[in-house]
Amino acid sequence: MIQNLSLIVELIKIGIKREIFNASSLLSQTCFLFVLILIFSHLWDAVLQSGLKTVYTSSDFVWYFFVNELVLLSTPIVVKTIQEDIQTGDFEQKLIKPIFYPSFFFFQAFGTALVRYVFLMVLGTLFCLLINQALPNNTLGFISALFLVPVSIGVYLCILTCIGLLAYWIFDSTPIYWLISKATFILGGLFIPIFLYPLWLKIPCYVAPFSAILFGVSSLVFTDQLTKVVTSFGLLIFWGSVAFYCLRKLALLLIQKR
Amino acid sequence: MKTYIALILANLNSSMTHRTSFFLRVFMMFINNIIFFSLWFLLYSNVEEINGWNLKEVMMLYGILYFSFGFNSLLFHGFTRIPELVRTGALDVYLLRPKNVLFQIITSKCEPFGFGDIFTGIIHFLLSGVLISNSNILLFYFILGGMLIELSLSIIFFSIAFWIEHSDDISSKLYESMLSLSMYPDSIYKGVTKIIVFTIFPVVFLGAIPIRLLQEPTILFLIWYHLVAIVLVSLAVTIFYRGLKRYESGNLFSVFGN
Repeated sequence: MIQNLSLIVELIKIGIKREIFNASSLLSQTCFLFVLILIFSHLWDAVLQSGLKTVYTSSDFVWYFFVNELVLLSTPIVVKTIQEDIQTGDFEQKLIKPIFYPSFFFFQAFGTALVRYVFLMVLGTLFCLLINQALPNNTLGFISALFLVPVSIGVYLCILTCIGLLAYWIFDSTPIYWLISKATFILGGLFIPIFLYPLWLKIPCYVAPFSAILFGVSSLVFTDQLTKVVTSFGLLIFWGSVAFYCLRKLALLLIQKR
Repeated sequence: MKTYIALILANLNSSMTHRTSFFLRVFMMFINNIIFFSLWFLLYSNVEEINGWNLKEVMMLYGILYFSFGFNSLLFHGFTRIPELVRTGALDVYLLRPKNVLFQIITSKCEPFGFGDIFTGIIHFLLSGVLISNSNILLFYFILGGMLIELSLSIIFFSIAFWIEHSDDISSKLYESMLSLSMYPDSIYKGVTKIIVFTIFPVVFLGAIPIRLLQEPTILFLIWYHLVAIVLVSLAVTIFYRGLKRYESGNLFSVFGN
């Protein structure tokens, strides 16, 4: 158990080091985040001017979007890496190593995600401050959201790792990734908070895991209730467990079938 | 010209080697686009217009964009290979051939998901009613214009590889920023952002300005549109060949099928 834990820590360290020395990746991710925040702030200004009835301001929506993007942009797209590993047959070599196969990718990617998260969180918050000229109305909710983001990244990463493993059966799992990423956008409430959705769409949103990954965390900027924080955390743990179970099942199936 | 057509056809054929993967990519891209557009349905279920743009106009905007992106992905997606070719020294192969280097590179890759984009474009045009109007020739003209502008900007972004080693991340994020910024009505942009998207990063000319020109053609915008296209094409060719002068040959031994 302890040996496994030290291996996991080493894998996370590799991911961290790799990203720290990849300045161009960090820089381009940050600039892309700035572009997205800029587009989104303009869009919400225009939507609110067009007569959308809501108690929230454009600035609230920008902070909400920032937390969502923090989750998505921090998470490395492991799908491609795993897919290449399976397509080239390199995965056979990793199966004999003393660590569970998907852990290789998951923990390295998690290390990378942690570096991106810290970097994007600091610079993104400064950029949002510059645009909004103020902190979020519910600063406490915003801070708790920032604390939940790494958990959210972990769950999303687990789902992406599962999709990567599917390449063993379907050869090219990129299209599945496209579908899941867009489902995350819609059912997770990336651009529009789910409470603004029509009733018929709210139900599938709350049933799917994506709302826990994005909306559950980012909607904390609209509230300062502690119960909401606990619920969001609980939902993340629940969906994380489900995703981990699926990942384990898929990996075992792959090992048996090869 | 015959050579390039043969090259494009050969690329299309090779992309169909894995039939399931090919059709999955096409289908999933179509679904992916439709899911993404549903965000606009959600926004417009709350408001009638956003800064003078109604849902049908946004559909037309996406129709033009999907057509341009789709055709470029199918025919000229080789620009994404520039960083890899420069880094590995594989550009030597293209330099030795008695044909235009830039054209050889851009026609060296075909992405089948372009079909998915084109199908989505057709759906958008049908739903927006633009195909029933008398402006079909003009519409086709603007799709070609959009292709040219997108291709030029992409060549500029990916040619950064001649100056910066490992620039893949920077180029990809610039490319994604171009796509993201072009997918919103130009009227939402204000202040500095508006100046940027109309001048140094002229993404509104990919879709938003053609819609304006289709609805109310003005001499000023028409001249501006053509000027932007000419300047961007010249800039892309100049930057690519300037970069090519900096290219240092590699020692890669390889046989190329295309």
